[in-house]
Amino acid sequence: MTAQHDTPDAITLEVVRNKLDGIANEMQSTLLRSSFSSIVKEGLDASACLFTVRGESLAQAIAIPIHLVTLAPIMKKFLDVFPIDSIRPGDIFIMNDPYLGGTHLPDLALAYPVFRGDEIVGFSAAMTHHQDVGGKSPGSVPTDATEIFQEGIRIPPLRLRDGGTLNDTLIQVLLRNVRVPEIFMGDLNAQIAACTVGARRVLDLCDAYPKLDMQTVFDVLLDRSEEMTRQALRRVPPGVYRYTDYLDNDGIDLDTPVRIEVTVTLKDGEFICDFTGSSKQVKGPFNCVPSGALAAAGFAIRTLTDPRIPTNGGCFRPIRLVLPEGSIVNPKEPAPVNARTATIKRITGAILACFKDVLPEKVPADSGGELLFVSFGGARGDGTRYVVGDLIAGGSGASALGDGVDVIETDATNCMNLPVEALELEAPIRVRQVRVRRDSGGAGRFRGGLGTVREYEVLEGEAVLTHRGERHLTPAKGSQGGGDGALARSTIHRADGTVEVIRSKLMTQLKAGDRLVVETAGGGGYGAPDQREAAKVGEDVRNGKISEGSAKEQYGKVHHGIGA
Amino acid sequence: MRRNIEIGVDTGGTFTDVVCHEPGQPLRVVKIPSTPKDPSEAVLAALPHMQREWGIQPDRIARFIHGTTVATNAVLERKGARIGLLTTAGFSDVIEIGRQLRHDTYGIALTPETPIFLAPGRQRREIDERIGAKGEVVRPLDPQQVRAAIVDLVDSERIEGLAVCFLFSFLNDAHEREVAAIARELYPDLPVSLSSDVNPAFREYERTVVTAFDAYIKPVINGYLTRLENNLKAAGVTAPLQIMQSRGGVAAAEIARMRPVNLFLSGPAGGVIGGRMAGVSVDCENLITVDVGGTSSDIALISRGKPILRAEGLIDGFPVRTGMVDVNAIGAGGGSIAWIDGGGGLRVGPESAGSDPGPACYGRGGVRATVTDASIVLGYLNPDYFAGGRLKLDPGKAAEVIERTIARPLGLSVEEAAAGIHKVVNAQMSEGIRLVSIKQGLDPRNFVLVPLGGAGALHATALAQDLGIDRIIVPQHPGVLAAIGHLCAPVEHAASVAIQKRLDDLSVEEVAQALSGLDRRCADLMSHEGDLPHPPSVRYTADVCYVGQSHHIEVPLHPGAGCFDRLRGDFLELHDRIFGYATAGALKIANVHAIHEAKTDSDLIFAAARDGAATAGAIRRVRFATTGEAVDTPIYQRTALAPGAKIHGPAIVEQADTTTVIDRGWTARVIQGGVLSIERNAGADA
Repeated sequence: MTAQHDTPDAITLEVVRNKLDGIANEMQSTLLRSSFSSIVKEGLDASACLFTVRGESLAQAIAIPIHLVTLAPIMKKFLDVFPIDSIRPGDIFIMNDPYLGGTHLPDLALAYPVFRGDEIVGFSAAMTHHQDVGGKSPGSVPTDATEIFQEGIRIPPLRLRDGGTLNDTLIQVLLRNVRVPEIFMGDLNAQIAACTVGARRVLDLCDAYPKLDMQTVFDVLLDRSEEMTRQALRRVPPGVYRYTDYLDNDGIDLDTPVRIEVTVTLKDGEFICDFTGSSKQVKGPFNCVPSGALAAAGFAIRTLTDPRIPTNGGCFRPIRLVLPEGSIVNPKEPAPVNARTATIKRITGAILACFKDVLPEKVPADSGGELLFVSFGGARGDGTRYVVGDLIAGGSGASALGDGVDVIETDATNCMNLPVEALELEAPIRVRQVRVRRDSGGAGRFRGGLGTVREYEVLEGEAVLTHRGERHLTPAKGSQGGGDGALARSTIHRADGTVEVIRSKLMTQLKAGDRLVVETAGGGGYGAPDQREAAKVGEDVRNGKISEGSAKEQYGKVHHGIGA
Repeated sequence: MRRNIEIGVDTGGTFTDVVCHEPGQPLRVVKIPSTPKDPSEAVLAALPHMQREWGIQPDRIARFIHGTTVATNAVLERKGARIGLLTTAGFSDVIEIGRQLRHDTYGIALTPETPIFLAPGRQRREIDERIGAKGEVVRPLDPQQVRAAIVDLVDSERIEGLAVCFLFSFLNDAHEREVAAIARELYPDLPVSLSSDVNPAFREYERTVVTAFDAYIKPVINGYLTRLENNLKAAGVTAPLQIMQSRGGVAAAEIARMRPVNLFLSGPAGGVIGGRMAGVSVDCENLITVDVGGTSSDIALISRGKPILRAEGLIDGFPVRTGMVDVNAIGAGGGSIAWIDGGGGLRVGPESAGSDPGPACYGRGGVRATVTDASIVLGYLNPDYFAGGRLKLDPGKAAEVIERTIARPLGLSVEEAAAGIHKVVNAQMSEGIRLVSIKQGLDPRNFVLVPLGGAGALHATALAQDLGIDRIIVPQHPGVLAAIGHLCAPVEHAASVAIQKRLDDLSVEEVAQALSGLDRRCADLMSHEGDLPHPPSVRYTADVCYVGQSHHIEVPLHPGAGCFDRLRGDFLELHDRIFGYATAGALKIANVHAIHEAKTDSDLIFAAARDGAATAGAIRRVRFATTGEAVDTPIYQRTALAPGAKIHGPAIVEQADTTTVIDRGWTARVIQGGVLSIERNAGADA
């Protein structure tokens, strides 16, 4: 802080804050607009952020919560490796190594110092999920990976640009290690463009307030969000809350469920998440490096506090994480990590579920909490090849506000499914049904959301099926006396009539005439089922959400036909 | 007697705006209180007003064009018809599942995101039939089953309309047509909406929703327009009724009622077209319109003289895949509430005082400070001349509420607090405007700002200053611009068909054949429009994407030799603008569209240019939020300004429907036609 500067007033602070949010949004828009790959353009798997010189986030534009706060550990790492006085105008830093603060290898992070004269006022940063970063399988998310070396190329903190000169050596190495170099480079350039736009606008903002010490402004904005977050946390009864949930398995050892145990301690506005008791790290790629638990805790804190609090690094200062070394939430090298999304979803759900009983008005029953990944890759009858993938949600948990929602994305992810017509135009596969899954919602005064049933038939040639499910073994639990949601279930119906049950994760071969039927999990119910209004039970029967049998068995209510 | 009067009527939440254009005469304008129960009452009330005040008999009306909110309100109030939905067997729940996306990223207690209310499970039936991805019949339709399903829906669910959406009907509509024929035979009066008519394009959820919306609002729109037409006739209006559609073109009521889903943005489209006309009168083709309302501000772009359209919009949060003007709402307006958060920060919105109780200065019990209260404290607004004096504002209440809720807690003077509220809301609005243009790949600095609505011109110079925009155009009647837009809009009919082929696999002849089919449909629609002053012009567009990409952009299509080369070139240029890159790569045409457009004669330049001096009527002490200075400021009356008049900021121009604030560093000129053009002084900071 320098003495000759004006102290920022309340109005200037708020104007600057709005501008910072606007800058992050403009960076994000640039990132999405100029990226090449569909995973960014349509999956929105990219985010942009502004940081202070100390590496705290000032403003972040994100489309999916799994990216929340995840650039922060990376920024910290950059600042460790590159002391602030070694940084020159024109530098750009790059890394993706999960074991040095990253997420998983496809997420490449860039940071760009914003120089005003010879002083750094902050950093603009962008993270993009690249379509492919090498490794054993196209897309760099191999379900059967057993070490990180199979998942793609690892980039430690390096200079992508050194004082304005691109690091050609690094770029050449990268381009020789990815499957589609032009898309990779296109997406990398989009990241540079986004950071450049952010830096330019931060400078414009500084120029608009020549007398203002921006560092002080940034500090005050962070302090305020921290203060408001702590105030909100103090409104939650202090205590020690524990919850345990499970992932089905790690995709390698199919018989061993993976335990996620979290103890949240709330005291004096602190939010301590201790994962002691969680499973040891696993062979398969479901291990989750520390940035994952941080994103989950960040999501929980934003959800449990006031949504009007401006989101910046201050909101996350109350978080403390205890992540046992060598566990599923803090694995040791070279454990594979690419499929950590399922783990982050379960961690997020578990942290929130800690508050089911203490904040019953706010926190719903467990959600299906799965994002089933199904992909078909194969050859048509004429030999041409195709790959299509679908992401499929389950039902959400019921809450004090009402029934859960059928087939909807929850917690750390927010992805769209694939339209049937889009899938069938792409691949020789016929979808035979897309329905809500009757009777799959947990019974309760408010019913859990239903899962879905989707059925695919391979029409010609052969296809490799990848199936990555969850909730096949442990249900979404109800709350306040509500019942559990139905387990997920997937079956393969071979053309010869044999039926195979999929144990959550599978890679197998399908032939023409084989069908895959997936049924996703339902959400938990809320409140005792006998408290459900008879009229709602009748309505559910008429609308096909529950069967007459279930109306009788679960709700003790007999349905008297149409018009009842 | 000459039959040469044109009437534009726009229904709004509070007022129904009526503009009356008689060649050679100044535009006449009146605001009539809206009648939400039956909006046509306020529309009809225009006629006695015209006779009484302007001496115009109904039989002199040559055109009567209307912008309506009936379609939107039927959805917002869930007052549409009870409909049945027929789908392919296995897919009746598509409308309920949607795309599984949640709107509130950080929400945990979720509410449904899909319009289940249109047709809950009991109102849906599955039909055994299937068309494949190549348009081939995989499983034929069973007419008996269709018959039974329709009879069952009518008998047990008492449906008043039927929507039909079968998979791949955009490639082969035979099964949907067969259903329509069966329904007609069974129940000749049951309205039927086929997805292959309403929106023949791929992605079944979006097509189902738009088709179900069409069926849902059809009986409502039908009833409304029939009543209005009959009553207009009874009142002596012989001119046909025309309705503004969401794309910004008008259509005869008898056509509009057939495809009501095209009417959701009827009113806002008028505003955008009105903004475009204001630009045309000063030869500006690149415009950003900003309509500052009570709870939100609507932003739209006009690029190279054409409103930017979007292929899919949201109504009440649900996707409606029809072409519409691309109007973007941001949650900041005159009623936005200023408050202090737990960290001591001054915040504005997104909560709004709306119109009831409204800002504190309305004196209707509002106890929280709003942007409008700040405008009063700053001296921007004349409390005795708000909305033309229809509403007396209470400056004492405005000052009191700002003092109590903002100034005192922050240790500021009331004026400083009011200026702060403006600065904050302006920052939100300008970031909103910037994002809307950046997303289109357009730089706002190359645009002219057109403020609309009652409060747009209050913020215009501050916003332009922040955005680096050099010129602002305040239309003569910004408060009734939508009604003016209805008058100026062309008659337009569009039709489209799915192609779903790679450019390499497509011949120019094939495209020409598809287009001539569309031309026949448009020409048929046009034939219902009566006498047109000009023959329709025809243009075509194609939805093009790279093979493998799923989102397309609409590109002009010029049939004939070299057609595909030109299409490819235009696609690359647009793709580069919007997405920042353009690479060689195989292209695919998803759909083609034909647009037939007949310009109307409305020429709203109604005063000859002559030099005029600008004389200020009064002086008022105004505190400018931008510079913080308090200045004795000249107040001009807009109606007293002759073309040629020049006003140097700081100054304020008042008129019945808006107040224009001209900051220091800006100069306003009254242009031929009555438009106020405000330009940044040379040398002033951009």
